[in-house]
Amino acid sequence: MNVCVTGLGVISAIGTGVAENWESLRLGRSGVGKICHFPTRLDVPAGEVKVGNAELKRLLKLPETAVVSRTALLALMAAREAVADAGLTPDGSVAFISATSVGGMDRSEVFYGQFREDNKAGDLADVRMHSCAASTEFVARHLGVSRPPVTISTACSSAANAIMLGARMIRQGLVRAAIVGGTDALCDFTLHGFNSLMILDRCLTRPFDDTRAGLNLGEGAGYLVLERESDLRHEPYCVLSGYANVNEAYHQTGSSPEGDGALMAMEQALRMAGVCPEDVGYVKTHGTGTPGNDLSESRAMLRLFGDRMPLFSSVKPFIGHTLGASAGIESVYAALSLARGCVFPNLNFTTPMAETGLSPVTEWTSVDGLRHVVVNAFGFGGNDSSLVFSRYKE
Amino acid sequence: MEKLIEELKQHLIENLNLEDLTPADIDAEAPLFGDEGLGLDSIDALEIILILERNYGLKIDNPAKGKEIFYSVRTLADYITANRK
Amino acid sequence: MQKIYINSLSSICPPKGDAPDYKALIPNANMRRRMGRMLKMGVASGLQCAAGVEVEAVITTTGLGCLADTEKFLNEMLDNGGQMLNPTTFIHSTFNTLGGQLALLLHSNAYNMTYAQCGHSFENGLTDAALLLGEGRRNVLLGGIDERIDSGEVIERRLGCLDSDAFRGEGAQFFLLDTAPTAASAAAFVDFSTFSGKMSREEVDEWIDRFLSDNGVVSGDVCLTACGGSCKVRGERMAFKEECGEYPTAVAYGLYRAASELSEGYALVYNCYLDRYHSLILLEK
Repeated sequence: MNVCVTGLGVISAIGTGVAENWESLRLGRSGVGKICHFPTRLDVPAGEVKVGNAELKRLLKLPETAVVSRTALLALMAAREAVADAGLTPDGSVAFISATSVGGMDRSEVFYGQFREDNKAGDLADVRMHSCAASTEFVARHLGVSRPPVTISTACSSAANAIMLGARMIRQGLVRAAIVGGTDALCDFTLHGFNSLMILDRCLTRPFDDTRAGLNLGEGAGYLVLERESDLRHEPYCVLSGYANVNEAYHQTGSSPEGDGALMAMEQALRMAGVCPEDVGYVKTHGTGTPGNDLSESRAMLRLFGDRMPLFSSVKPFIGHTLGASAGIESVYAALSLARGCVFPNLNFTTPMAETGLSPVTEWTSVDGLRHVVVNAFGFGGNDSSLVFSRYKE
Repeated sequence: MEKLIEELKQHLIENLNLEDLTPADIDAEAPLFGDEGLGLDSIDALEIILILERNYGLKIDNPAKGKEIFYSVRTLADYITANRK
Repeated sequence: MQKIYINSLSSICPPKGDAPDYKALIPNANMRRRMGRMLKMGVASGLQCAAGVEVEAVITTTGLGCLADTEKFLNEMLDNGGQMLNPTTFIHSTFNTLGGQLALLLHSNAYNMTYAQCGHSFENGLTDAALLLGEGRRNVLLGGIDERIDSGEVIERRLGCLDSDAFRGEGAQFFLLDTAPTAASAAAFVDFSTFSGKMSREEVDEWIDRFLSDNGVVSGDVCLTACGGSCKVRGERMAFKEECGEYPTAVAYGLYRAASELSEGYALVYNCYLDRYHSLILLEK
């Protein structure tokens, strides 16, 4: 059974909505810069969504006084766009599957600062949305999805796993459609966390470059509507033809230098899609810009594609690493890539890494006859997931 | 120097939760990383950077550069002695 | 749905006095040394359940993840913000940390997934397990894990998330699920169902009646009801939260108890968390 992508919604550092994101991608306009929306003592660039919480609430027609985690606000913005784009009417036969890595930590860290001084202090409204489930439920309620929602949290691969689960539920007949993707808001907790791992670049991130020195964090949300081919009301963006979730079982946080997990994920996803490596036109890499990930992912691509390397790039210099949201946002981009026949530039790249000599696409490139796009999302804990999107009707 | 080495072993045991070990079990010359030594990994390297920063005021910005410094307790002690202000 | 057998199960329930020898259960000292309490509990329980079997999927589920590590990192951040902090507690604050450690210790490259849907986390995982088995996978390892910390309980009480007579519990239960039984099979799933939202006591009972009749089971065949909320009891009553306490994945303990106790006929597990996460599981011997 073909599972089709019928709706897209996104909010990121390069724009609110698909149209704005598309325009920024086309113009090569990065959204990574100084952090403005919350106080932090870490001076690092990040891909902040330019819209503040007050404005998000206004756009969503929520009361000004409502205390809602930014994670949930971003999610509702993107999910609502995706549902409207698909023309889907959510009901009991539609699943809402959302991924997040930190849930409502953006509010909880404010609460906890007061609470730890006095355990009767702190505004409870700030901690009510702490759990990962809270943003998911908030969106499900506002979309009118009555089926109990699902929350996935597998670090940076989370949204890819949400997309995969939606397709699996449709294939096995549990639901007729699924709204799938992920959301994460920047917060001090996450910034300090990645800082403690010493993988934040103080400058702009340079994925696949020999001088790469880490990632820039980002925030945002991206959702797709998946539906059965038999339910199509209009031409879909593309088909989700393959997916795989594996665990590298190499190290708690690091990836293997040879890219074993990444290779397994891509191979299994392509096998499921029935697609040969040489038919892949574009790989939208995980490409975080850390020395470890990019080497590992490059070697995996070399092992898989050999001397027939497809076009590849990382979009993280545009939006930062949006963690639980990344595969949601970046799958929206991948669907656009297939539907509109183009691939996105890998900004900030100048020098191929010594170990592989590989160069990503650095210019906006139109591609005729793009048939299959691979989306990679790898995370801590060895979680490696790959998705294959294919053109609708070969 | 020997006092510093004992102190470092104590820091390692506490910060890396080497609960089964006593300072006497750690050979100051043996490699800290890899299978033949204590078997520490990249996360431990970050913890050792913290030990240096918090206890000796020494900053290492890039964990990859720490490789030689982190070879053994002895090399760590040498580095601290040479760089401590 | 196809029948799913529980071929192995394990439990660590600290409120009942379970205090396992983690050194024996997690022999890898280099990995054990970094684990907080919840990770030790989860890893030990998971390894016990999967012993001797090559699992084809690892699904961990948790309402709130490793709270103690999360709190430690928050405190460090508030104390030393701007400086480099201890990375280990941050790593463990991520929800999939347990799944990752199990993969490492089981040397398993298999499908690995983590659900964090509050009071429905375990039920999310169960849905996935059923899908995986439907896709032809075998030996799916599924666990529910949450830990209790003092400050968390204070916050939950202030939020009204815990009834005044309930105690905040914790635990780690794992199940090895497969489509084929073995001599060791404890029980089989006939069906399960979830509902999110408020329900009156009458609505709960009607829901259960409908669920049973949909599965062609009459009340009299139910020998055991594991209640994690108030409902009409069929057969023997097992109030499992009196043992494990209240927490987001407590249903995993209810399932563990029901599957262990069931000697004939059917067992029903009803769970309700925070008055809006309801679930039903029907087991048969």
